[in-house]
Amino acid sequence: MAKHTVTLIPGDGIGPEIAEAVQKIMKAAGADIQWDVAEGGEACALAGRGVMPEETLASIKRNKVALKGPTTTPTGGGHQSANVTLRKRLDLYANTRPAKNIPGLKTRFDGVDLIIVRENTEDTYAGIEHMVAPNVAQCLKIITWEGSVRVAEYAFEMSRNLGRKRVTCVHKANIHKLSDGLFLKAHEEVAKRFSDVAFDSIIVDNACMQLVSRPEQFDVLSLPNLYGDIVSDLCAGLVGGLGVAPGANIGTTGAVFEAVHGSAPDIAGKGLANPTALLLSGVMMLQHLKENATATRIEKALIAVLSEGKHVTRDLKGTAGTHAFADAICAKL
Amino acid sequence: MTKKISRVAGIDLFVAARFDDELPKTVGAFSLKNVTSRGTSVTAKDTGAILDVGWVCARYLLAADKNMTGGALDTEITKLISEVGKGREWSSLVKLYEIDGTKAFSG
Repeated sequence: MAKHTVTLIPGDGIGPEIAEAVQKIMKAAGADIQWDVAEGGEACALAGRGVMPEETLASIKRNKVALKGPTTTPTGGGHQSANVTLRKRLDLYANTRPAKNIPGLKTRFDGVDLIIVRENTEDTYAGIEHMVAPNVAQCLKIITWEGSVRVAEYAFEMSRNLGRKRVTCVHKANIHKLSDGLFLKAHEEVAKRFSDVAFDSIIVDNACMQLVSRPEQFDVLSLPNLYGDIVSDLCAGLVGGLGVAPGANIGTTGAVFEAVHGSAPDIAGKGLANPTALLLSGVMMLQHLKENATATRIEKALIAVLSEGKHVTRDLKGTAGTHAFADAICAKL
Repeated sequence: MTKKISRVAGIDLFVAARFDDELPKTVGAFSLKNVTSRGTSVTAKDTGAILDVGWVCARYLLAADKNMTGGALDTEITKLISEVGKGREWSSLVKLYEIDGTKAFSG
């Protein structure tokens, strides 16, 4: 019996082929995983089974971990997005996005290696809006102590697990004294329990300025929902965009790891897709499962192939197909 | 802009209450549509228990054919607050409008 059973949702478009490539690499790296393949996305929504069927949700709750390929939400027909369904049904409260320089992908900044932890359930995304007069819109920003503490705890525990040195709380508590003030206080309290991880805080506008001038100064950033949504895309832009960006959504009943990019239907089935983002999401998944040694091996092999540049995919200015790229990584393990 | 408030469709009443509190289902012209957490329901990390932070949004609606204004509406709202507020603290109230015949509130 395998050590870990993981739900795998291949998804739509390029999803199945990049999922297959990631499975191959994980097996070659010796990851002791049994894959519980489940469906989700456009194809099963259009077949009447819903964009994220109950069987898939049950699988994730049972296995507690899922690796998900990109999914498409069909337009019209009132389909809720797969990601929104997962977030609500699994109470995925922390969205985690690393931003790290990828060898072979030239960007303006070097030495970027940071992680964004975004609170995923509260803030203005609680979705309470009213027109209080015909020309006046009001939106309520909700921050709770409990919600802030649990995301702070996740940021610190993850930092400890990965050997990260510092958590920075990003806020606007000088203006939003009560709401962002509560978020900041929660982080200050949690920080006291993690003497091995340093803590500081920064106002969000200064954080953005610092990120686009000296991003290498940051380690782990913890943000409320709205700022996290914005700043995580900013950080992806520092290292080359969303195409190679991995992500994780952490909940109380399960964790879902997925690439940030879309399903790229224009190249689906052609063997051209770059599995880097899903592979890096798989690396995050292994770290979550405390299989840090295997995660590091895969990451090093990936970096070696990218640095060499001989067997990279078209989007990285190479000529290798999906599986040739995967084979090159396997050879480096 | 020349948009106009067509009618008051209901009230969002924010109350210090738990999910299992039995809020009144009807009060005068208002009927309880739902009680939502709207970002104030948190699941405990280790036990999976729902941490009910004790503040909910109770949405009370008027029947679709009811168009109440002025003193008559204020009387109904006062009745609603008095009834829901028995043994509870209500913290804020927002009128739910239809503007130019279209719903002007989320959810």
